[in-house]
Amino acid sequence: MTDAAFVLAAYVIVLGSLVAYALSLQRRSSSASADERAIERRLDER
Amino acid sequence: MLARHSGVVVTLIVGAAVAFGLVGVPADRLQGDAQRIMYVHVPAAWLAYLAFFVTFIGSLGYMLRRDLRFDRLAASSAELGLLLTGAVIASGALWGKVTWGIWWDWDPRLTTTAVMFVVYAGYVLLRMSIVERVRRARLAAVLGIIGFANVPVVHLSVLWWRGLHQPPTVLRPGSPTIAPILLATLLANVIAFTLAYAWLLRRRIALETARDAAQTRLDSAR
Repeated sequence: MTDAAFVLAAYVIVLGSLVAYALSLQRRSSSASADERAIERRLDER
Repeated sequence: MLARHSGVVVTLIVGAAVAFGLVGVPADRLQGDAQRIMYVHVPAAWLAYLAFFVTFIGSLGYMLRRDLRFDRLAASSAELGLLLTGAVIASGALWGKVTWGIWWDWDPRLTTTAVMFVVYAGYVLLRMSIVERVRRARLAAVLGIIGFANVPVVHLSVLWWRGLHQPPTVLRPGSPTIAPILLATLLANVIAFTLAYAWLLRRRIALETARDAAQTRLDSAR
């Protein structure tokens, strides 16, 4: 592996982890909103 | 307008800073292109320190005020700090392989960083293992305060003990031992990564707040 490949790998790891975390937050937020709506619906049905 | 598109703005700033580090700035005279790893490795390390300091402040705030907003701040920042520490270790291993010829060494800086990773992985696991909300916040706050004791040790380890890792080049006694253009690029990346951290932290706190609100709604209905 050349130096450039190591550099690229480091950038991909650091930036990729931040992007992956941002996407996971988006997914978890959507899931939390869906849970909240389900709770509200259940409570309304009572 | 800016708030609504804050994610795009932060992405553009980080993209510009990273691109400058990758291709805009000249290569280091001694290390060549390998030194470019510094522009993501060092900001990630500094932000990991900042993230754990915020966790420490949040933990302290919770112990003093018993307000869950402090706990949410501490929990959110610890998760981000753990992610950044993992990125620091991985990018450092790549840099180590190019410059030292090895992926890992039980050098003081690397060892204390590994300890920091384990401590905050424990913090996250502790939170996941306790269902009762107030107990979770209290025990996590204790670990958030005690665990921070290692963070200054990580930074000072290169001054206290001899090892493979180089001593600090910017946050050191005296003036920075780095060329001005490289320092400017590094600082630009630190600022860009700090904005990304703040943006992610805000979203992570919002998620924790939504979860707490849903739990409170459920508890009150029982």
